[in-house]
Amino acid sequence: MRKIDIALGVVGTAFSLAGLVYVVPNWIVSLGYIGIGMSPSFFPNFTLTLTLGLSVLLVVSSLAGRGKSEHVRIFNQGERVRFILSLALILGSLLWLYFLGFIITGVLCTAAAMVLLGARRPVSIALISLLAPLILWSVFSLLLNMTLPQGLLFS
Amino acid sequence: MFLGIQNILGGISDVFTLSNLLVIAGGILLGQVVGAAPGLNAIMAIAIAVPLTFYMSPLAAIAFLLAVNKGGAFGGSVTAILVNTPGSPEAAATCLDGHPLAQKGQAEKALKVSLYSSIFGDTFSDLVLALVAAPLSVVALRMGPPEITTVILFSLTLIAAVAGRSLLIGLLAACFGFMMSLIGTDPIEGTSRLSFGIIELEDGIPLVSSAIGLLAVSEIFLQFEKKIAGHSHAVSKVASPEPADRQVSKREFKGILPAILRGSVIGTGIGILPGVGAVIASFISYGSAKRASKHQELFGKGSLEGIAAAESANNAVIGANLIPLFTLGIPGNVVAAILIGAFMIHGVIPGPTMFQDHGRLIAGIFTAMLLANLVNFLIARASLRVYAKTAFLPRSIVFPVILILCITGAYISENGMFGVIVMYACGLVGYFMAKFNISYVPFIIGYILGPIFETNLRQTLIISGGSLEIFFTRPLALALIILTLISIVRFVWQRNKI
Repeated sequence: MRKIDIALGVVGTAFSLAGLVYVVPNWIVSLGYIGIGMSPSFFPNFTLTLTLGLSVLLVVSSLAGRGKSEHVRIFNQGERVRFILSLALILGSLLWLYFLGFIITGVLCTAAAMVLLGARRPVSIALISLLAPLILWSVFSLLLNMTLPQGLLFS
Repeated sequence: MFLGIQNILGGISDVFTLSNLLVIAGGILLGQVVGAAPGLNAIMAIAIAVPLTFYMSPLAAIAFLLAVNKGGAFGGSVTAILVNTPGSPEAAATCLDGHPLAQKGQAEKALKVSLYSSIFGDTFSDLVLALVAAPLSVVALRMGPPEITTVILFSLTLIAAVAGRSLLIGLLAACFGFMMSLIGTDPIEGTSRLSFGIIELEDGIPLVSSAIGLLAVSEIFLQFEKKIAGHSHAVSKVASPEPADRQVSKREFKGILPAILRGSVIGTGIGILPGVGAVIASFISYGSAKRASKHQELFGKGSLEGIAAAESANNAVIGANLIPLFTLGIPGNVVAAILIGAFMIHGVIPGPTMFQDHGRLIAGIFTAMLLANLVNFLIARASLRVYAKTAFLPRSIVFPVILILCITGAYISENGMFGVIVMYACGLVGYFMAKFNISYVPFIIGYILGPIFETNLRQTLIISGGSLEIFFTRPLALALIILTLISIVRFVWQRNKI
């Protein structure tokens, strides 16, 4: 975990420095009250300074840690491919939801997720991916009268 | 009586309406089914269930979520016993003896011991909550901003220390949680803060969508990553035909009673401390039952005492974990953190003032919790064999359905695509946290407590004119600062690292 901790510390340091130097001065609106504790920037600066201190301490303590630095592998080849497919599914589901609405997204998403998780029987994939969104839609939209997306193409 | 007899009677009568009884039974059923399904747990169930409560009354909503939690806590033991895969982390200790017993064909007996112990532990801690919360809230009401600031500081340090693999990582996660809470509107001035010109961000990052993402969607991503081919530890599905192997005799029940009582006390004691969750309670209780047992050689090979100790303790944490929430407004665990969101959605601010402002609601919640234990017992007793089948549901069916449920919940909670986008973003954050072995507990609690901490810290500084001396001149605040420092030093000393 040493390498991961060092990387986390570096990311935390960069993130908090970017926040202190650029984000807080540019993206916080203040009414101009003066005094400690009054400004909306006070707590963001407090949090970012604390994060900076902890991140630097994490890097230092990890570098000073005893023992050999281990080889770290976050993904193996298969995991990387499946992670990319998961990201594609996220993006796909957002686009489908926006353009095609809940039911079609539900069918496509369930089927894709089942295949990703190793389901191979077409009948069960078809059956579950059709039934699950239809049941959910019936419960939320018909029974509870909640609004689910209709999709840009159908609205 | 702090709540007042009228509030108590009113609260009790509020629970006994048909709709509320159905809501409690529905919550228990949902929790048990989700808890018994492989890879799912009560926390995920609660996160997904929050949008369902939007149109409920405050009492029905909170009772429903608590019922889901109670049902899920028992459901978690089903997979632990049958497939040696704890449905929730706290059921890990149950695997040690539950699964060996199931392999001997005594799964039904193991499940029954788990059920009796769960219900006893849960009821015990609920009673402690009902008796202790009101008097403690009187003390809490006397606390001002400096005391509340230091209580939060102490709780966060404790949570960061015990939930993460190192104190520094835990504190960093809490800081990132604080940062997430900064987005939106300034709690004192009411001006826009870090919303980057995005209108939806003016109200901050939505809690429900982010909780669904962090808790449920991240797990779905982790499951996508694995190539799953059945269960690695299949249990013999053939149950023993002998009635003695399926029933818990009076003699056996008498034998496990001390372990149940001890586990209930341990779970309740540990549950009161913020962040020190059910996992620790169940293992401490298991160890203590083993030391006290006359049959130590059976532990790890199918001891009924082992199951009873683990289950009573991890369920006793449920009620006790709500004590800091009800008395101080501080969530003791992730479930309590989600409950804060649910309370706020229904216009109730958790904390000591709840006892004054919503006494009837509090009495109703306590009644609903006790009633939910009875319902939990009845439903589980009637459905044990069905849940035994749920544990063998293929993950390739469970997780896709959960994904659709998550999308539905996130969309409904924000009434738009923004909720789904936040859910996916938080799902990715949770996924990478899991990959880097960073606990999401300090992160989500930091996010929930951020605004409360900020408001109290700023009020303290306004009162003191910017001087930090106020923290050292108020006895309780000073005591809490000393406790925080002691817990940091003790943690570093014990683990020999920061």
